[in-house]
Amino acid sequence: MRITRLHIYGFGKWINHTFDFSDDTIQWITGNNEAGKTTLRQCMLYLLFGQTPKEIEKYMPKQGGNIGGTMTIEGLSDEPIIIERIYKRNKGKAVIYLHNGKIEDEEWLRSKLNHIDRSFYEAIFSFDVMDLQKIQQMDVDTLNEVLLAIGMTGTDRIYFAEKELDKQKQALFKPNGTKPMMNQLFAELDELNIAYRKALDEEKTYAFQLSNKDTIEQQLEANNHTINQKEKTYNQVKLLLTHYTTIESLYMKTQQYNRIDAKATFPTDGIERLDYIKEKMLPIQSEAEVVKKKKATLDEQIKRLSSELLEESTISKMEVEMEAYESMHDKERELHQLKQQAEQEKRQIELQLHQLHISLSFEQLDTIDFSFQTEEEWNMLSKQSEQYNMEKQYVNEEYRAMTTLIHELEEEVREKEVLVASTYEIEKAKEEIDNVSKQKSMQQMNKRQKQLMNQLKKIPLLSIPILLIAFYLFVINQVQWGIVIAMIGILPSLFVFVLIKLITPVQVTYQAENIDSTEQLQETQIWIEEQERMIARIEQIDQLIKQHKIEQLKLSERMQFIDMKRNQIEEKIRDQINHYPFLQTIDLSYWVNLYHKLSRIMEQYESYLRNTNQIKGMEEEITSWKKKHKEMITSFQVDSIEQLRSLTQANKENKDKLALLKQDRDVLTEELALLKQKKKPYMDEMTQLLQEQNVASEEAFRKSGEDYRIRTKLLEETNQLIDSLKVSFTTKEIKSFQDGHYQGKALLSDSLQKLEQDIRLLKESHVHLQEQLNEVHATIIQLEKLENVSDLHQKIQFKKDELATYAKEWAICHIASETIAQTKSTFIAQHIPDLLDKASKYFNQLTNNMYTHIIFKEENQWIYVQNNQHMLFALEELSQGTRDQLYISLRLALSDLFTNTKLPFFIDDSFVHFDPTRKEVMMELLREKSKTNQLFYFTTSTEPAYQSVITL
Amino acid sequence: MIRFIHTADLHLDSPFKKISAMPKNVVADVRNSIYLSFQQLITVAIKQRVDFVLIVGDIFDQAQQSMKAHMTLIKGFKELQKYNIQVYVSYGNHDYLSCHTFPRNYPENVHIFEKEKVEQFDYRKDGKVVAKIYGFSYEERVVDTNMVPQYQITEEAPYHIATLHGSLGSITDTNHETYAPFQLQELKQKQFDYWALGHIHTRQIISTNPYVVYPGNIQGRSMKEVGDKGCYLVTYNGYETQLDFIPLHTVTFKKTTIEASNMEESTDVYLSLESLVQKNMKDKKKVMIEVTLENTSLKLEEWNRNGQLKEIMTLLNDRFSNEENWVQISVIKLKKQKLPREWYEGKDFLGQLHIAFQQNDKMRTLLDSLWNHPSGRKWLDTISEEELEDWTLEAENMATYLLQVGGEKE
Repeated sequence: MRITRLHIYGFGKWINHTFDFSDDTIQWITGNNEAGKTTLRQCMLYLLFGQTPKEIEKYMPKQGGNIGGTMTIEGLSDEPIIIERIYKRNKGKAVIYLHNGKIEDEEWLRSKLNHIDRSFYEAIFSFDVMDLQKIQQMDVDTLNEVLLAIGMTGTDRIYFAEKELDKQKQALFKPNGTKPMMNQLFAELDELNIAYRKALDEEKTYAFQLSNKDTIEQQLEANNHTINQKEKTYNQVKLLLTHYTTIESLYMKTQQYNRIDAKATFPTDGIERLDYIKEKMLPIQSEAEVVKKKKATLDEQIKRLSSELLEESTISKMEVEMEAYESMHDKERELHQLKQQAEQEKRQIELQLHQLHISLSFEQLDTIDFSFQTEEEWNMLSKQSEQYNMEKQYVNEEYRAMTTLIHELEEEVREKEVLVASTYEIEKAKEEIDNVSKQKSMQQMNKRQKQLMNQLKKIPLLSIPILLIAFYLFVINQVQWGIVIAMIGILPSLFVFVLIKLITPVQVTYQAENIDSTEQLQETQIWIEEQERMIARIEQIDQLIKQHKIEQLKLSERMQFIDMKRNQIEEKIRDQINHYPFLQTIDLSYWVNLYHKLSRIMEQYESYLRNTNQIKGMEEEITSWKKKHKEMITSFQVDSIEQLRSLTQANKENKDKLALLKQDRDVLTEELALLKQKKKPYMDEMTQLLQEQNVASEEAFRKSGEDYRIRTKLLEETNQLIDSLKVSFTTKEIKSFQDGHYQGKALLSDSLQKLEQDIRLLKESHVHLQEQLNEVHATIIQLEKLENVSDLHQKIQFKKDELATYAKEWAICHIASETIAQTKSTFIAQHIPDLLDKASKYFNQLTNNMYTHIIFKEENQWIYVQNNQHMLFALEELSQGTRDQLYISLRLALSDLFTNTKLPFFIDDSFVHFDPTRKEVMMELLREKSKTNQLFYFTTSTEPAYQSVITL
Repeated sequence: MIRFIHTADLHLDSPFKKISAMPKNVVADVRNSIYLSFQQLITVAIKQRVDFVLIVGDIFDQAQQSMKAHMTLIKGFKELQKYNIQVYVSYGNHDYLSCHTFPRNYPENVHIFEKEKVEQFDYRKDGKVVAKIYGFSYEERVVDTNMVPQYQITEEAPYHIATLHGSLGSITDTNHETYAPFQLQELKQKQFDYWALGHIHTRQIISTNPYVVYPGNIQGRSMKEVGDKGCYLVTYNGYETQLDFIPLHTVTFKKTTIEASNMEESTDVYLSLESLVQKNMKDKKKVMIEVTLENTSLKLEEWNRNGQLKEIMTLLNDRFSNEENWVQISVIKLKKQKLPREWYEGKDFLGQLHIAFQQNDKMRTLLDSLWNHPSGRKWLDTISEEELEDWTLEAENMATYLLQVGGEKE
């Protein structure tokens, strides 16, 4: 980018002035102090980037007019453009006139300048004398920081920004401080919180006061109630004292009245009427007494006899017992007969057993238990035993006959085997016979060959005419046909010739071996046939022996089977003998017969057993009855059946006597009933009198009459007293007086005094409670109006708001400073090596190769420089001039590193204090730099007259 | 016909944030606004002749209530009693039962859900039950179980209302902790006619069949609670339910943005804000506005830093504070211009710095030295994600400003 022309409408001292900048790279602008160099630089920056009103108004032309101008620039677009910016016109924004007549706005310009703003531009591309002066005044630590910051942004602002943020943070908050604003607010909030808690506690008493109010109100109500009660009692006591004499008299009369146990009514002339009835009843009562005595004597006799009589149930039991006695007597007779019969049966059985002559006694019969199959089983055992014995005998004989036959056949075979020739001899004889047969057939074949040869020998003769025909064909020049025909003629003759040559040796061989043996052949034939017959016979006998041996084996197996069966039968017989030992001595064939005889004996034995059981049952029955009979006799308090009979007889006689006595007594009873009827009207009247008064006796009736008189008198007196009390007391109270429920006069007087005192005290307490209630009520109303908690809560909120504002400020500062620090660290790691590499080149050039490298040590974040002897120097070891060179190197390196667009440099007399040598080196570097970037150099110096000097 | 008011989250005596710098009368008006809104609620209930009022939790703002709040409530309830209007109250996470400072000495028309177990009240008209109201109160600050399974209709009634102070599962609201969580589907399955919800301060009708409604709070208390605030007037005519929103707020909190890229001078800011205030004055309401200046330049950053913006704000606030319906600017926020393209490439230091601000996910930890300080922990609120984002942006603005324009110079 190149600025070719600047036209100023007005900017500080410059009014309506035009500067044309040549094509040369460095634009030297010289002028004394106050000539307007800085103003010119500011004007160019204003036109490019604008400026804040506060800053721009410093450049207001004294004569008035617009601040602003135009600037022609090449390199931002294909064609040159003109930027116009006028303060307070178009809101101070630039207007860009393109070559094609189009107009663009500020945004277009900013995009062309890669969105670099003025501060960034100044930081990198603008140098002035102040920059260097500033670093010259710094201590080494600050300088290191500033140089690092410059390395990063081109300016020292990182350092100052961090400082500024830290300062702000410190003013807001320190973890252990008291003065910073937030620390103060914390303290204030704590204080407010205490006040708030206190106010809360105060308001909390509201609930207590409400409950207090309820309690006092309840107490007041209770108090009121007590006073009323006491006053009521006081009046009552007072009244009692007034009527005390009457009350006491009433009580006494009532007591007297209550003591008399009288009925409320009494019959009219009751006593007189009683006396008259008594006089009338006296003679009837005397007669009745005599009859009663007679009747009593009879009753005594009846009672005695009745007690002597046996009860009807006892009598019937006695009769039953006597009948049972008779019945049992019959049973004893029957038993005797049965015993005799059983004895006879036993003797008969024993006799029969004796006749059988077997070892079986009468007692052993009990052990015999013939089943339904015993007879069958004994019969079967007898038959099978006999059958198997016979069979065994027969098989034994068969076996012996078979053994003899086999022996004879084996003997015959042995004789024949001696006469038979060997198999080899027979085969050899057969071979000889075969050879003789072959020789005969050969002789016949030779005969047939001889005949064939004779016929073949005639074939070559047929070839002669054919050859002649061939010769003819040669002659008539038919050579080809001649050859063919000649071949046909020659080939059969050749064939016959070869065939005769082959057959001839065979004929010679057969003729040599021809032998004659017909007789020998016949003999041999006969011998062979004989031998073959004998061999056939031997084979037949061998077959027979084999069959017989099989038969013999079968017989042997049958014999084993019979033995096994016989053993089984024997086993069964033994079982039977074991079960029925008496069979031991008896042959098996007699068992069935024995069975029948024993069965009959067993039937008799069972009859005997049945009788025996019946006898036993009857004996037990009789014994049991006798025992019961004895007990029964004892229960009737007699010793024998005879005594029992006499006792029943006596009882019958007493019964008859008792019936006569009862008849006499009935007569007397009728007499008594008549007397009672006479007395009844008088008795009824007297009973009515006693019933009316509800008394049981005549004496009681008379006493009741007297009591009734006294009571009636007392009642009249009491009623008079009650009437007088009714004026002051209720009926209930009067009743309680009558019951004696009233205190003594002295006690009543004391109560009256005490009640007076109580009432006075209660009234005093009532007043006190009322005062308390008023107080509590007032407190409640006051509490209900309280707004302290609400206010304090809002106050705390205000303080919290304030605190939150500061906290936010602190947070923003803290985030900003921490992020800057973090970015710094990242940035250094990423870019510083590259930057220092570029800066080192400038530094090397500026120091005439004295210093070759700028080095940054991460461990202490410190910048060092290295000289051409490879020695390291810290910043404090460098001269001021070298430090300036280091600063410039970093700035120039930064311009290479961070901007793509080649923007112009503005250098405002920055190197004024450089010595000539150093300045020359600097100028040389700038000249090189100006090849890529346009360079405006503002200076007071006029010494070297360079090209394109604009002198102000 | 049943007519009732559904309200929740009164937060009586809630302190207001960021008003300390306002003129005194404004502070007083703002502080009183919640009480006025509550009085409005009572007036509306009486005027509309409602049968009852449902207050679904968080009547008080904090565990320890103030006398002022307590007495205001009693006074309101007594007024409703005069007109035989019943009140059904449940307590939420801010005023749970165990924290009550004062006895609940309310008049007889007030029915309180006294347990952390769903109970029910019958609302009778002419001796007949016309509605059943179900609900529960928080016994302690936290109820983290789903209470919906406890809501069961056991007896017939023409209208069943369930009151529930809790968080709907699908709502993500960083301003409210999640308590007594539930899902919409669960509520729909329960056959209630009206779900009267509380806890979330933003008004919203979540479902119309059945009605599932958050009425929001009755008065905004900060810039987090902007717009109209009030209650729902619910009418059931025997066939259908009708909802009418009744605004109750007396101070409106608003947020607005102004384009600031053209503001070259501080007077531009003043004029722009003055115009904004005058425009809002026309609404005849007390309004508190948070202004965000968008696309601010370094100049605005500078004016912000040197206090010029604050001066402008105070000047305007003072000027309009004496109006009956005042309009006040509570805060001016700056939103910086988009950074130049080159910066994003991160080649130079500022670019790298920008990247560091963008990519640092440990900003919160950076602030531990203050927020974890014993006093910081006690007095500073937890930083929300939004705040942290704002502060990071502001920190970047500040760092950039200091690096570009200059910090302290020696």
